[in-house]
Amino acid sequence: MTTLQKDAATARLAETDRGQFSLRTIVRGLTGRPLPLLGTFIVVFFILLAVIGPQIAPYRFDEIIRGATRQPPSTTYWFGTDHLGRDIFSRVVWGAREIITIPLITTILCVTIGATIGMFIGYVGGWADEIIARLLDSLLAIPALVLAMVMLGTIGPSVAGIIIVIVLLYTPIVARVVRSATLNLRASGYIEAAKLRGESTAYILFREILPGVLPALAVEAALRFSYAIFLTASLGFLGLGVQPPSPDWGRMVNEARSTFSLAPWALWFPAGAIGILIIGVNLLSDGLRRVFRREGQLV
Amino acid sequence: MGISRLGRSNVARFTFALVALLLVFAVGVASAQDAPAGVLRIGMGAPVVLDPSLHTNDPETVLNRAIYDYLVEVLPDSTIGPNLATDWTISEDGLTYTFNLRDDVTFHDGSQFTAADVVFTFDRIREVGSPALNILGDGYTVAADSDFTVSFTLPEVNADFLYGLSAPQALVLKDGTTEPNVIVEGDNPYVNFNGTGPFILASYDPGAGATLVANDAYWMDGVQLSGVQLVFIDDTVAQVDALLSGQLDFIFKLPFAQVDRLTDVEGINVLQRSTSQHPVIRLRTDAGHLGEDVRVRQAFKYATDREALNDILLQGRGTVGNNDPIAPVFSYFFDDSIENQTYDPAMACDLLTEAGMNPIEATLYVPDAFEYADMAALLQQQWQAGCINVNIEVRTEGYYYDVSNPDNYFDVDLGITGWGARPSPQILLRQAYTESGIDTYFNESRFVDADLEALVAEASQTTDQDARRAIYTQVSQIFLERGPIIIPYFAPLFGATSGRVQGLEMAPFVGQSDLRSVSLSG
Repeated sequence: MTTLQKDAATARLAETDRGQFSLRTIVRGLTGRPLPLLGTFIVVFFILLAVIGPQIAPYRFDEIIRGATRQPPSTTYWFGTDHLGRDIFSRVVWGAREIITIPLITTILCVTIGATIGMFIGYVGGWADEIIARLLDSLLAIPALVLAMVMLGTIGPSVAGIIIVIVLLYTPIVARVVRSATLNLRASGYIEAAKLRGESTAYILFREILPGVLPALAVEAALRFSYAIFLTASLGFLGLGVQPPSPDWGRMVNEARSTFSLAPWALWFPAGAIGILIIGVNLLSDGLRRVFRREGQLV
Repeated sequence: MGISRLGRSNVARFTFALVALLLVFAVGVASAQDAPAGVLRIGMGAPVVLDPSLHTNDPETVLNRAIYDYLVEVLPDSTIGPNLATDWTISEDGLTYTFNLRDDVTFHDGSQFTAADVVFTFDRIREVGSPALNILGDGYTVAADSDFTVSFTLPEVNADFLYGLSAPQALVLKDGTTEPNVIVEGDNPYVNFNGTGPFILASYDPGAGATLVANDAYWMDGVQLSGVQLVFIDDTVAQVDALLSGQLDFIFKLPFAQVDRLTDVEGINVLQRSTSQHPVIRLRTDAGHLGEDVRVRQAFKYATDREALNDILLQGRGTVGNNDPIAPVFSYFFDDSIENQTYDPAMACDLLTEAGMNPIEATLYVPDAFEYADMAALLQQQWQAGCINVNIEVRTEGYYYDVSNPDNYFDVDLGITGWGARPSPQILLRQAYTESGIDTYFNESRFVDADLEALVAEASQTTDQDARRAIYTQVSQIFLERGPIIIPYFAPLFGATSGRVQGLEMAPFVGQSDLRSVSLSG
């Protein structure tokens, strides 16, 4: 068998072993059932709100309306006003941008870094796997919120700080999931074929293994996104999130807590928005898992 | 028959459940309504430092004030009144204070109160470095002239010395007490809580509360309470809930948001007390910092609408005074003729242009306490119109007030800090606005002004009230012209009582509120 014939054989082998899925399959899977459809609708709605929200909000998020403190929901102020006389509807709408943007950035970073680490240690194995995997496990042993509070208490609350903290917290989880998926793929024929062709480690990781771990990665990314939303809101609630007067939903809940008996609407709407968004992302994530499982991409 | 259809076991279960339900209801009603006769139940945070000479916060003072007495005390009108001392004289040079003491006072252990106890107390205050020394100074000597006469000799005139004798920590201890307020093993665990005060400690549980019973041998007539129960609840929202449900009679230091919950509630009285406590918005004035140029300090004042801050944050319940720490509550010393800068953002922009600093880009640091984060949000909007753009950085209180952290209250260029009530303006002026205050981390703006230093020093030695008032007017003028601080308002103190409480008047330092005049109806 010539070298050319050998390459063609390994390429065919790779094509048959490698995971395959199309965007159309995913869309059909998500829209074919009511709950994933609802989750998709909710997520798309909030993303749209984040994009066009400031254009449709009647007030700026920090605009104080003199003489309008703690106004109940009405046709003038749809969600009412808060203790400083700020329109809650406008703040919720403006706040969608932050509650989507920060978790989105952190999720992209977590997935990129975590997938790279996970594929690498899963593929090379040996002492590198042992050391890095144990290091990641030790990071996972610390409660997320406690670690976040300590770190932000030390470096001070800021958007950059929140992103760093969430990435540090969630990257090990992504890495561990990807490592497991990589271990399953490591002995596959198309990986062996790539090795025989003399491909570099980077090529094998990103061209051969990555497509195979994408289903697991996609589901994990959706889950991380949902957890990142929750953590961002929790940090905001604890006063360690985005700084005032930014319309951070978690901070809004905290500010409204002490006046709940006087102006419950100031708590209802941001808390409701957090809840609905997280439910939506979870439904979407669950839908993705079902699609991939049905297509045989996940066990 | 109904019973046979249900079955005996079901009837028994039903009966048991009904009885249990009734019991729970009865206990609930009893705990909510059957308040102990004559016992005032106070909800407050748990004390941490119990030593009468070293405690600092209000809950600690409430406990100690009930057990011990002061030599003299600050009356509700901020003047000094007698207590264990019946009267006193001040020598012509202002350096010697001589007190005549009551001869009918006994400690809880039955021993006689004498001048030796006063000498011991104030020697100990100096030895342990009590916070009371901030007003007393540490150069005094104290000696017993007789069993019931005691003299203090000062190294220099201190016009606030009497206020120092009534500082929260200046409580009179029994001569020879080595471990005041330390609980011991044995039959009498509270033997070290030996004061002359109106109440005797009967039980103390650090996690739950304390019970005090009336001192039958107390020297003052007219104490009507049969006891005081201190209930330790750190969360103010939970305190309000407990008051509303009838489990407490008195709570204090209420956040403003909670005051609205209690206003107009039947059977609840909301108490309000004007105080000298205030937030300070301040600029650092030392070389290279934001407030070095006086025009910048002025611009910040013109860019701040203090009336709006008071209206929005406190619904107008605060008192807008001058931009200096001489609060309106110090009525005799407060000069209401000072014409403060009014809100004029255009003037602020002009001043900054003149100073070559238009626009200012800065960071405003603020502790996550009281209404300060909201104040920062309002200031950000107001200042924007005055060519001052700030980012807000909120820090937890513990972090912000710890000078070992970066961006702490003392180091930042622009920050908001909270200042508690003081019995005299002199204390704040000396602590926060003189050069000596830099080493003690009080003068956070690093404001050092030769004229002000001289006036503060002169005021500290001026016992004549008219002369002192004239000095303070000059002090206010200096702050008006070049002071680096904005005081948006002097905040009131809020508390609340159940309807059965009568005669309770909150002191500006609320822990020192006098419970001897309190009675309970019903």
